[in-house]
Amino acid sequence: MGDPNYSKYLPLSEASFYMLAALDQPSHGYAIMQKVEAMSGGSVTIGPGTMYGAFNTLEKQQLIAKVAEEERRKIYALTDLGRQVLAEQVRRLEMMVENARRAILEKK
Amino acid sequence: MSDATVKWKCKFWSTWNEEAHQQWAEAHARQGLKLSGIACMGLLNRFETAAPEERAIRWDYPPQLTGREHYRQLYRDAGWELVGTAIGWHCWSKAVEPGKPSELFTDSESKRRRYRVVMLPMAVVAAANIPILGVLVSSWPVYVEQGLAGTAATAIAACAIATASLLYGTLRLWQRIQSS
Repeated sequence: MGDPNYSKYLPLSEASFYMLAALDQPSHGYAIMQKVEAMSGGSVTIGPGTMYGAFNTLEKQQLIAKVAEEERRKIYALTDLGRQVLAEQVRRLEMMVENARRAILEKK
Repeated sequence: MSDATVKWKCKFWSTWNEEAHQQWAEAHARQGLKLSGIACMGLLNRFETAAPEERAIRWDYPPQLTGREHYRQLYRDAGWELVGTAIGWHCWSKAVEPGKPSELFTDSESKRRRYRVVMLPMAVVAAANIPILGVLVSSWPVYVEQGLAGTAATAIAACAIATASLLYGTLRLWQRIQSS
């Protein structure tokens, strides 16, 4: 099987990126909200409306999947496709950072 | 038993300008009246006396009819209290904490998506109303001939007002999508 068509998914919004990155283990929405806030040092907070919409989109795109349900809370996990897309986003971001650094250094 | 006094107040608001209701209810919270219930399609508001506080009041229109219990649980986990619902709209309330976000939607993409969810059905109904209005207006001579001019005039006026309101609402929401 070849690589997925990444252009269908990328670039990820900041909220989607952090949600995928927070799913290193299956979690429900509120746990992800707290984790994202901690991961980003408080600079990124995701409201419940934003999270609910992103869950629906990411689930439709099969980047995440519901794996369990506990007391009306859906537990989501990253799919293989979600992991590939996240990895590709990280690769592109690293390239952007590298190029930007070079441009900044050359100017000095 | 609670010592809170209950007051009912009426407030007209439109689905393309829910912020007017939100700001009105937030001003009441600052004056010691906490919004505690919604009735009559969101027009009647139940307030209870409480300590004055900064509260965020937000209306939301969840896009899906199914999975409402998951939707509500997620919002409750995030600290929001469900005040009430009105024709699919959910009214949420949360005490404002310094340094903590008090918005349901925290990025432009989700704000635009939310406005689209409200705007699209409104645009469809507005578009469907236009030919109905056209038929009513073009049949005016027939109604006059049959002595139904009064009834027809009322129907045309009602349809015209509804269509104009829906078109205006669609335009306002489209503007909000563009500016988000």
